[in-house]
Amino acid sequence: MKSLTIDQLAEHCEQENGKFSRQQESDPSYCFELLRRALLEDIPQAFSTIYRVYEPIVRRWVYSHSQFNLTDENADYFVSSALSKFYFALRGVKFKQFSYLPQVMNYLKLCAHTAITQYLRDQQRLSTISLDDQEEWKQPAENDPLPNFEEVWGTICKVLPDEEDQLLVDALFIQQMKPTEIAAKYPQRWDSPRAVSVALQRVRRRLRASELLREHAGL
Amino acid sequence: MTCSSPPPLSEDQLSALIDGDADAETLAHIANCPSCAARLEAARHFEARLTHDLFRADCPPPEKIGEYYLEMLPDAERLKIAAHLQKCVHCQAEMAILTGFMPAENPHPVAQKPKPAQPKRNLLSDLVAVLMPNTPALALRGSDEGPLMATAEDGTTIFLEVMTEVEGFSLMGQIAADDPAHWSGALVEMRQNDAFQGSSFVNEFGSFQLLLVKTEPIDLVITSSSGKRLMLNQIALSS
Repeated sequence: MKSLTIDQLAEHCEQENGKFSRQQESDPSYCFELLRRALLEDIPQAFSTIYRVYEPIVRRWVYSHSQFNLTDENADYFVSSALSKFYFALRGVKFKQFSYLPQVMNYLKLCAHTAITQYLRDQQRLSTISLDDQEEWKQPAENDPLPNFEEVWGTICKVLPDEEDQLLVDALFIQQMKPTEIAAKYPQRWDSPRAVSVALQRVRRRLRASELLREHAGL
Repeated sequence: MTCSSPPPLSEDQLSALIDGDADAETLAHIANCPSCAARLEAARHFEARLTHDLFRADCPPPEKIGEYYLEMLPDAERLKIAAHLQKCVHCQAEMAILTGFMPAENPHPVAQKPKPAQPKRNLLSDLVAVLMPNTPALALRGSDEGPLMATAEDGTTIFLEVMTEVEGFSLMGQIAADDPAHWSGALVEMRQNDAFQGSSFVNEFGSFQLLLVKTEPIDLVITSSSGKRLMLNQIALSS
């Protein structure tokens, strides 16, 4: 296996993929070796070959995803995003956690899902604010939590030390739930949407009165 | 500025206006009082900012939820994700979609009809590098024009040049940025006519190289390890 060139591995890998898709017995070792060279050994030509071999498969996954048609993008965008996520997630020693091909393919398929899901999350977040505010508060769509979240949440907890009030802020601002949904989820705390609305009025008054939070909002 | 028709609107009335639930009297007041209208705008801006900063801010990224599903996480992280999934309706919905998507592939997949071609839209986070005005096409057979230059709105600049190789041509690229380390190790994808042609990586010096086999215009997507994308579209080649 190690004596085969990348082009030879690619040819065998594509043949074995063809057998797999026809539900014939197939040998996964060629594809796995190609992936090993691309990700563990970080050989650029090997990754370029992996990209070429698996791009049609990833594209098929993108088209089959139930949320794809909710996006404004074509499949190329998510195929590219999925393969780059795959590369950065598994390159180097991280690849060592995989010992057989189906595991790696599962992860690649996961990357197709996360490419679409992250896109929709970002779109959802942008839709909560006006276009003018979007421009003003432009944030990179990265996977890490927003850098100022801990600070803002810490301030909110100081302004609202009551646990029930914090739960309301979580439900309203973090999860964007409506009073009806909040009452349904926490019936022991609020017995009706009206009770939630009354509590929310009090919470919003106190939040807007906080100098620290107003400063954070640029007011 | 003082209220033109005291008493000024209460904070609860401002909340009702933000929610679109205000009564006729409140609506009439806000239409005629610049002072209360300014307070309303400040309150709206405040809540919009909180919404922007807090919306799903404590949700784990989709990759982590996926790795939880694939049972790849260490115990401590797995328990944290499990606890979050107990309370978060959005992540619960994503998990439901994931569990429907991940199981065994359809052995006879039906080719999906592609969406009609749409103009490529980019998230606000994507950087699109724009060619300098009056830039000629990239010359395949030598030129005195020097490298082609394209700059993104944050100042990141890509220089491109075609070099003659023994068996054809290669595209040489160089990225110049305020934070050069950000692009080191980035994945470079090249497409022509929407078809993938090859990939490479940006080295520690900000340069990359790709083999050119066709003369159609080039689209480049450069993705850093943090997920930031730099895009250069429809670079023409000339012989």
